[in-house]
Amino acid sequence: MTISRGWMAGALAALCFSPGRAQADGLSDLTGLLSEPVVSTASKSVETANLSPATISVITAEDMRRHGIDSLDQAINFLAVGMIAEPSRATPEVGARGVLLSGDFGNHVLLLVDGHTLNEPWDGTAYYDRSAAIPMDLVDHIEVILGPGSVLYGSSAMLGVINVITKRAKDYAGFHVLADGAYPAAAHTALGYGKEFEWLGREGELTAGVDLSQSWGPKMAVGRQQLGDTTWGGDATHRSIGVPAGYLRLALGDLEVAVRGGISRRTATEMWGSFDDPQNWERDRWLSLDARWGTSLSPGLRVSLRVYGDLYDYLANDPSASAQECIDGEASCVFRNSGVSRWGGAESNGTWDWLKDGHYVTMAGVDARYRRVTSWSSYDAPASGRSTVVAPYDKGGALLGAYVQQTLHPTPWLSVNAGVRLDEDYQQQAHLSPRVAAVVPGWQGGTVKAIYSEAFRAPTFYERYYADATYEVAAPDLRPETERSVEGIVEQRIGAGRVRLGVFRTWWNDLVLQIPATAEQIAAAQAAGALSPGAANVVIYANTSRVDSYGLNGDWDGSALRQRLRYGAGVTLAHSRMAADGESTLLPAAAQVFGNARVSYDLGGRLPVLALAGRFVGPRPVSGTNFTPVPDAKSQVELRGAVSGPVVGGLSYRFAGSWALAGTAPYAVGPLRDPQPGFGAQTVLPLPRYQVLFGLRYDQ
Amino acid sequence: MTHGAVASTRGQMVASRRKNRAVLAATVAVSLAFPLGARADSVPVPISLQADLLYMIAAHDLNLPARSGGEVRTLVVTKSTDDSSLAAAQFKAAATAKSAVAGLPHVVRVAPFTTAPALAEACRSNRLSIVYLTPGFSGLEATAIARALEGGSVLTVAAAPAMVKRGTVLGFTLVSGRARLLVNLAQAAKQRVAFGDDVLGLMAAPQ
Repeated sequence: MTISRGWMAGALAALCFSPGRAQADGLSDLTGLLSEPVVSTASKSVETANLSPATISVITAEDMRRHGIDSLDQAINFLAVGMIAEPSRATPEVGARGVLLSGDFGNHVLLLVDGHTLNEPWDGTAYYDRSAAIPMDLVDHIEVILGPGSVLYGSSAMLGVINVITKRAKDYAGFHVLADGAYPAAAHTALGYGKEFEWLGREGELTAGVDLSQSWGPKMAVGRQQLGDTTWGGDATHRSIGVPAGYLRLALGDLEVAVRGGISRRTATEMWGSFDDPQNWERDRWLSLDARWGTSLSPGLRVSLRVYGDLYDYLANDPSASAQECIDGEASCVFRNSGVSRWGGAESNGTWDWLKDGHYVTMAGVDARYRRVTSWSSYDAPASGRSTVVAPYDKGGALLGAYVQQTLHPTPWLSVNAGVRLDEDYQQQAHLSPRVAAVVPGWQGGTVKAIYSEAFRAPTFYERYYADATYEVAAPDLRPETERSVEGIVEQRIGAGRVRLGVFRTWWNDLVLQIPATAEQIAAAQAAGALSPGAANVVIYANTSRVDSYGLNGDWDGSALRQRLRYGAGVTLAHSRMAADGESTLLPAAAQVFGNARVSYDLGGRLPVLALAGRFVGPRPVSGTNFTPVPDAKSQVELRGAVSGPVVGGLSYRFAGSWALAGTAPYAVGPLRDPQPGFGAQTVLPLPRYQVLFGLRYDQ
Repeated sequence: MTHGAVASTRGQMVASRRKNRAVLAATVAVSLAFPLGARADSVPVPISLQADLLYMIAAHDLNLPARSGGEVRTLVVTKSTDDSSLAAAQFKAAATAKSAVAGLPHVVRVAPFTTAPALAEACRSNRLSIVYLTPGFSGLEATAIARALEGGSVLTVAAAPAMVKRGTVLGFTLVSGRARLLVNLAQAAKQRVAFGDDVLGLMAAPQ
């Protein structure tokens, strides 16, 4: 035994101290360091991800290309950790670490493009599929930050912050054209251009891209439901989504200007109104401008200024042949809902490096914004020609956010990031969002993080002011939702790979939900003329619930064989419960167990890149049903394979296919949400189980 | 010359003056609006990460032991800009923490840039192994430095990736949120920098 131990010790010593081993280790460490993501979102400054005060996944354009992924929801599902996108009725919903708040239109995640906020004020809307209207060919990488981010970004940064960072011209030089076709029927074309230049002795660059995607169908069978005197359901054949989008970024010297525009039009969304009616559609439009400038005023002081302005509008057009969905006794009607947001502002930011070596840095900023929202709904009855506009409003006001962040690197083994943001809304109380993070790079390649943070979401204009004389009362006195979070993360770099394990606990309070209005609220609304005398099943938004969540997430990623082989896997286990009215329930559509795994290999030269990715989602309750018990959606397993490679010159191809185990999503569809005789189960949203895609691209 | 022709010429002169004024005004406006020539992201990779990468790579320079003469000496060269001063301070702090490079003792000094020949002379007389160029150098200065250092033995490294195609041996850029090493192999040969094949596989030529 002694001999054996001695031999082993000698062998280990030889392995550890031989020059060859040392050199191999050095190269491995170098590869690992080159694999370390460099991020800028979590603290609004450039830093390596292991030292940033958050759990971050960085999804690269290269990984998306290898796996044939070209939308945010797919990227989140297959390439990120801790966050999930559930395919829903119209566009996917996003959740994180066991919490998904169904029906929030993405307003619990802050979505940025090059630091510019996309969530609009009317309903906080942000989409994650093609309806995000971001030319994906321009995307360089995506930073997915888990947990509260209000300390620097204010409202909506509760589940996380997603920053889509577009390519620099050096990485996108020349013309780029791509065309994809898919079955079930979908098409995608994109045109892009990038160029670096000098003008008047100043370095500049231009990147621009336009993108058009269109899908038709697929045809899907939806369980029939009786709706009064009409039947809802059958074969859905008119589903379609069309999204043209464009983005332009021009930089010259220290000035940078970005313009983004897009339209998403979706038909027959099975949310409301007549089933499979091509005239049943909704449309979002965006136009935004962002200009920023920054300079150093002294070796320790850097200042920046950003001005921005956005236009957004939403319109739903829902014909219904059911008297139950119309008013004033009309047998059929067209319901329309419009929301228009205009907002603009300026953000000024200063960074002071006290010792001018990056060890003690203070950042302070002010973001002043003005928002105006106009909204209305109407019921138009074709038979009588009557049009009834309900609860129109036009509201505006200023919002001021001020933040300060201090980073300290007193020793090589300790980094502290502490900050707080004050948001002052003209209509609401001021809100403070603190964050304290300690990062300990305590040993070679290893880091421990401990983070405490808070976040909030101001109630949207929709939640506060939407009203309908037939069933809904406005709730102008809503309070912000709040979240507190603690998390601990251990991360270890092993050569060109990285293993990370995090534990988290979050407390959400004052969540805004739609609940039945009280008799007093109904009486008050009727007295004010805001509610019809015969209104039934009246609802109101209220700060009514809280969520407690805890769990862990882990991931492992890396590369080998000179980065030809890339791999990764992530898993999230959570225990999240919503408490309201003394009851504790599972969150609808919120998976408590989910994860993904992927591997790709570049055969090199003119040979293709082979990629395989998979994800799984555990059972979760169906959202939007009053059935008791709430039915569970089936667990989902989804696989996708992709092959891509060069053809000739700048021409390349990609072929991708995906398969899903479950053909349904965890969302109830149709008007039937309560058990009725003759219906044994809730109808849930069907999903296509297969898709194949083939595409060509040309890079000049 | 007809009246019409005179009128036309006057019109052209007025138009030309207006055009010149417009160009002048645009130039002044641009100069005021964009007081710095360098791009805000001209140093995309954090300075501390640059230092970590540099000293890992330097260990793979096959000529480093011979060049160093038993002690690796790094010179941080500054320009008279705020960005340069800040980068120099950050780099010095990170580099000083590397007490040994490739098993050899390591010292760091900071000096302002005067001329390319003076820098070349400093490299020779002080037996410098590594010269780190902070941001703020013009393209002409980068080219002049590269020419002056030809025939010597020194690894030049730039904070700004644009310097590599102008003759700096090594630089750092960011691609898809990850640092990438840029190398000017022709200049490396001229400055007797010899990276092993293993590490060259992790580098890219500047575009």
